Amino acid sequence: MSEKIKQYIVELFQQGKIKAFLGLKDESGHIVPHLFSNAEDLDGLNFGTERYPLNKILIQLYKRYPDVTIGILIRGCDERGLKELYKWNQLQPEKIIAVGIACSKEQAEYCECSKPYPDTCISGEQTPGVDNKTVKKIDSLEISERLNYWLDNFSRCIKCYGCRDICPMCFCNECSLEEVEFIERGKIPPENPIFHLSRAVHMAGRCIDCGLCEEACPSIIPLRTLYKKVTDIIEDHFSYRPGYDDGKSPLNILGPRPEE
Amino acid sequence: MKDLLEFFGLEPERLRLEWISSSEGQKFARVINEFADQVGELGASPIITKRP
Repeated sequence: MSEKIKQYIVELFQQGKIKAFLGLKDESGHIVPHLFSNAEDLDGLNFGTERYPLNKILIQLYKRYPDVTIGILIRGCDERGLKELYKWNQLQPEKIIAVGIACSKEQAEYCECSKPYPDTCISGEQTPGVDNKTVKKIDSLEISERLNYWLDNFSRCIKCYGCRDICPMCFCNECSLEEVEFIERGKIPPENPIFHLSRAVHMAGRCIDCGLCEEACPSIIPLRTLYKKVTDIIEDHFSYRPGYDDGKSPLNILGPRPEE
Repeated sequence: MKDLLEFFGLEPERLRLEWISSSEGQKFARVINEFADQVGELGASPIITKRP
């Protein structure tokens, strides 16, 4: 983490542009999300490759303090999240000042990230996007191999809802995965494959590929690969990519049929 | 959704989306019979047979 970033944020405070800054803090060796309320507080600002759904925290802050302008630390994926959340009216761009950092080449490859740096990038070298290999690998399997692969993976699910809880794009007040008539209570693994295929369908036109779901999953289910595929399908059929300036998601439009 | 099913490992022909009004009884019967035959030829869903 560079001094450049810290200095930039100190100036934002000094110029009165932000009332608080949502970033990451070193708490006795653990890097955790923290809301810095003034420039002096920023001494604790520190981070490496740690990733948290800061957007999700920001949504909660916005609900509580809709008139306050808050700064937020963002990576490329976080910016995709912000852009998409604006389209879904969960956040207002006028109330947010984004401080962007670019991810390293290693991080970009680990994530197979399509754009490992935000447009508003203050620090870090911008490396190019990485091609998607995990989806291609599954595509190359025989249909019955694919079935076994996914059924096996889903059978380890313990219905912790970690994937949903950590997802910055999940903000439904009533989650269908908690509907008793849909997903039986007290059954582990949850309805295989309905639970995960449902979540995958809900991620269509919404998933910004931050990968936190897969990192949160205690059963190491390759969720990211599944949602990457869904994103590819939407791109193929609708030329839409969540988190970019492509207009609204086709699944976010109510009213007359959009122009072809 | 068909693409997703295919990625998951099920034949996309197992899903059919059709828009039928409640007054189109004949169309409904025809579509259901056609689909039942089509899926019958695919055989039992591998999820039923393979699920642990």
